[in-house]
Amino acid sequence: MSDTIVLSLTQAPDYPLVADAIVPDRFATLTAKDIATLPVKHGGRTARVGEFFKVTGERSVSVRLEGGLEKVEGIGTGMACGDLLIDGSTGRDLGVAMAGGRIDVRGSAGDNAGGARPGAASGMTGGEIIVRGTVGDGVGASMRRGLLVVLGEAGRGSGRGMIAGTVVLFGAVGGGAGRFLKRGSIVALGKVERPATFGYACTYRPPHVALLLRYLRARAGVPVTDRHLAGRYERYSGDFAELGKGEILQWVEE
Amino acid sequence: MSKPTRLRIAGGTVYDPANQVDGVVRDVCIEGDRIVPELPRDTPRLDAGGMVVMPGGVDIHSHVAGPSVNHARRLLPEEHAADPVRAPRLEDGTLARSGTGGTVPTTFATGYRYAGLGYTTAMEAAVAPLGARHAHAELDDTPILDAGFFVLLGNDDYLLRQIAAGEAARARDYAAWLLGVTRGYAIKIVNPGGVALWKGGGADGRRNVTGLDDAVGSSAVTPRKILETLGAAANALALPHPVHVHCNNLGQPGNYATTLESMKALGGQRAHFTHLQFHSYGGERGKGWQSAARDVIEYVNAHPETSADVGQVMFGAATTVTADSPVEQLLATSTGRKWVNVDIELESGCGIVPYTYKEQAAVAGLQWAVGLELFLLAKDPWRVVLSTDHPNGGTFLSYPELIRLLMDRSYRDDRLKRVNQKLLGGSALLDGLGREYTLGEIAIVTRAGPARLLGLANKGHLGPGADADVTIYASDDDRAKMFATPRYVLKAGTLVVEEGQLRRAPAGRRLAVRPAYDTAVTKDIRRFFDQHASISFENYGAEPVA
Amino acid sequence: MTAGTTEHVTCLGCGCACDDIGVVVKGDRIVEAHNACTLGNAWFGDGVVPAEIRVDGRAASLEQAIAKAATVLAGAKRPLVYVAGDVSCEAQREAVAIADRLHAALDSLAATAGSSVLAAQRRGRATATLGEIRQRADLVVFWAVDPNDRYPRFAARYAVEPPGRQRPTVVAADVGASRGPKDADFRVTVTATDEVDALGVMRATVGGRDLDAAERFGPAIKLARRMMQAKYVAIVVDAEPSAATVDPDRAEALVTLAQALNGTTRCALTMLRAGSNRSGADAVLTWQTGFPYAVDFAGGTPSYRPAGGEAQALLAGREVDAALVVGAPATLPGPVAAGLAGVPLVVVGPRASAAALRPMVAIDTGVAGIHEGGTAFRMDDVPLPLRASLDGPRAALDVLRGLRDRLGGGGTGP
Repeated sequence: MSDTIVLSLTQAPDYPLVADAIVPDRFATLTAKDIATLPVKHGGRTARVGEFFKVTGERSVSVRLEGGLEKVEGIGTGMACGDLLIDGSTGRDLGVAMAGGRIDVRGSAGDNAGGARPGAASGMTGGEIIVRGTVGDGVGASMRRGLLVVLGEAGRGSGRGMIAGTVVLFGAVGGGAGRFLKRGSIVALGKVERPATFGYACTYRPPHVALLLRYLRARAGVPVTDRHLAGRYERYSGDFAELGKGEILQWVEE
Repeated sequence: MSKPTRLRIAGGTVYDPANQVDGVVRDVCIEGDRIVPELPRDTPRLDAGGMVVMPGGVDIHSHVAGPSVNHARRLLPEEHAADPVRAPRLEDGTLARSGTGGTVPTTFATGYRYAGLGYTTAMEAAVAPLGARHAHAELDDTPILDAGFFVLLGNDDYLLRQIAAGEAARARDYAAWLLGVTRGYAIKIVNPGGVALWKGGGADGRRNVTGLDDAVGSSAVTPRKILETLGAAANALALPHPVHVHCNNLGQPGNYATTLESMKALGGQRAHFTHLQFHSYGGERGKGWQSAARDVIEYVNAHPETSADVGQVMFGAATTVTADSPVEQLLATSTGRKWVNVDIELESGCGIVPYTYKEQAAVAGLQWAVGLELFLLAKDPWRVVLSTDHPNGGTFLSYPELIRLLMDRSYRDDRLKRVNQKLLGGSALLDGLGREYTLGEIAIVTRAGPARLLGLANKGHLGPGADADVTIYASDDDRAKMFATPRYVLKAGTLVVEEGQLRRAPAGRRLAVRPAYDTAVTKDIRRFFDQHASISFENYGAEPVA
Repeated sequence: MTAGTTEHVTCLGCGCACDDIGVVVKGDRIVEAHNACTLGNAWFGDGVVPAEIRVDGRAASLEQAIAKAATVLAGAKRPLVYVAGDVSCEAQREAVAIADRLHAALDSLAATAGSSVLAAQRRGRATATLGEIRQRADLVVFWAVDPNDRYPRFAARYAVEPPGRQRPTVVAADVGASRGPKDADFRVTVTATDEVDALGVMRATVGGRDLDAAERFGPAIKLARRMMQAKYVAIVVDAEPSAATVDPDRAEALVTLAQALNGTTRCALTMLRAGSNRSGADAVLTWQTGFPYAVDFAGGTPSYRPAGGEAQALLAGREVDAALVVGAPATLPGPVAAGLAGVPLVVVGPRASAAALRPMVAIDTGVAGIHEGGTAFRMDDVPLPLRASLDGPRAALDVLRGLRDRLGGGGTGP
């Protein structure tokens, strides 16, 4: 039993490395050796975690990944508990269909972070993902519950088709954010381009947002400024093409 | 052992209800693909001592192939990704085909999984004639099963025009012609007239029929008239299986009245009523539901010309896929799940919505109970046979669990305790139905009965001349376990399952009819076709073309 | 046959799959294709195809070619099977069987409409067979497409000229540079950047949600109201890629609008698909693997990677070390053809020996629907028989069966 299991990339993958076996809750009962033998797909060919990562530590749900993981996809798929720290950047499908636990990415993440599997009704159903860099398209797509925070820029379709849950975006946001969402909140501290099917409701100081931001600053050291806390937010409700019970909260200076 | 020319299944306890054999220890002899009376002593033996021997299973109503089923497959990548099916390693060392499962498995997986349950025959329950060529192509890729399909006719534009014109004879000839060119097996009626109204559109609000005497376009055309015309046609054509009827108002509270009316409309002649569970509800729309299973099954019990399959609901994931497209619009609206609707020119419709039956849900609890009531109150198992309307009420993989519910009262009562009973007032199940199906009765509702109702003389029994489709189970008090994993399955004399493993995957045979008719009708059909259809008359149906 | 006319021939020149073509053959050539449009005439051509078998560019026997193909493919670590155009569903079924046997990646021309497929897998479909539109539609909206460009007979056969029925009202929605038919009864103009928003505003209108949308959405709202008044609406859109870049959310916005209209009236969304029997590949892959495209057998069972698992992406990532193309190389999408350059390649299909890709093994076959019979699917998933009107080289189906047998295993069952 060790505090944290560390997987450090020793062999850079030549092709996309689908590593959906790297899920902290699965490591709870495994030795370093067991973990090293977990299957991954490298360019479609079946390989082992150990062929790409040096594994230290065992039997823990606290996991750290090190190295250039831009080509590594599907980390934390379906994760239900534990802590996953990614000390760098990762590829697409991070935390897809995540149900619980926390993922903290020091670098950036690719498309569909905290998103859904193809055809699935819902993406994240719980847990927290913080990406300190940028994310690709469709972050938090079809989220049903949970919290997803992006400090850098976000691609297009952020929070598309959300059913509930919260997505907080500090950086600039691409087009189509919140399109098709039924319920749920997108909090945009940067500039967000809203679909025309969102309607202005009011400008106010939502207490739950301040609470949330304080929580992020305290727990995860997210650089929340007092202006964010004190600032007012324009509430746009939507998507009126769907239920119209969701919202985009746009931070405004004053 | 490759395909045995001769085999003696020795010392098993045989259940062959069609031949009045109810748990007798005896040998079953096979020569080629047939059962024979006797074979010499030195014939190769398969020792079935202590095991239960039955004919191969026969599914009278299942959605396994064709355009609607493939629309459902295309809709469900998430289910397929979660249920990969490895290619079985066959006895000759080769790999068969891989695939995916879920509620709507791929064609190969469908064949392997049915065979793995000891089923060797299945009927695809709803194919629009326009898609017949597609359905046959999928059945060609569905190994082991002998299969056929029912042809959708209850909302057919040409047929409805003949009814409007009072041309009963021409309607009959049309049905016969259509069965022939599609290489179909029986006439299927789905929500007669209702789908035609749904497709007709319009703001007049009439998107479905509500009862047997609603006018469909012409006042001369009503659900009743459609039932009467096709019911009479099927009997006049002496089809092996009579009209296979999916009544109006499926899934609606109070629909049992429509169901009884439909049965009476076809009274005195053979008719099969499918997934009866979905049509046996009391109560009123907006005013709640209750079971009306007793009223419906009492009618069936008293009318030997009437038969049914139950369409049991099993808790868990399902996919509703039906030609009854207006019903799917209601379901999609109430569940908010993804929804496929396809209007099929001149013929029918197609609606698909994924659905999950939860035992905590009141309506699902009622549906589960209604199905079991029908089973347990049925007097004649030969006429009330087993189905889940796969994948609508649950998949065929849940048959073993259903069999346990029928055979094991204490297990059934335990399950009942966990079910939401809010709507079970007046359900016979709550009063405590003590009946437990015997192995002989299970053999009837899963083999002998469906085969007889389908008119498959060589299926569902082990008498001389029967197809050598045989399933051998290791007896087990846990009936679900016993029926989920047969030890041996023979299909047309070939051992397809050995020691619970799929070992061979031969192609299945096609079951089709070609009734005679007055060919004069084809001239009129062609005239209609040339004006209204979007494909050439010569390219219609499923016949090979030059 | 050397001379004569074959009637009721199905044309695969586009997804319309018109099956009323009369093909006239004289002196081993097609001299006429009655009823065929310009695309159809181009597709039938004179029906003359090469009948060569080449290994490393040199003439070889079928036996030699199949042996070499089997060696190349069975020896690969990451083989790709790509189902290109102009082969029957029967041949497509063999292609999938070979991919299964090889544990290969598998993709097809159906991937060209991937965004529509994914939208349908999220939300479903609201559609109809083409004849139903001809029967019922009283309002046909051509959304950003003039069918006359890539589907010349679509309007006449399936949409706006119903025999014995009043002509429906035709609406042209001009979206950016993508304009609707010139002869529409009225037009609605939407900028390319507003397209998905406009569809959303229309759906909100249909759903009765009051939304003070910007002035510029007025025409779209008016169109939505008009749709609600209609008895049966058909929305026609092109699912194939075009010069204009399309918002990936468009397909979902269209499907959900059509579904919403089925609450108050009836509506069918028709996605126009190109030809060469790509719709057949979609159907066959779906019933054999559970997925319509971007399939991967590498793990021993079919898996689905619509983002990153399409042939185009695998080839761009240089994963693939051998490929089997089943069908006409001429139908390969540009990026796939480009990605195949330098990959050891086996081509079984029409004009394989003429492929610019210089395959390691090239086996010419007939063109499905010209030299070979079988089954094909129309863009609306309606199956149609193919008729051979001209003798051709060896059938693709037979060659593929031979290859499958040579690869061993996996040949059991249907």
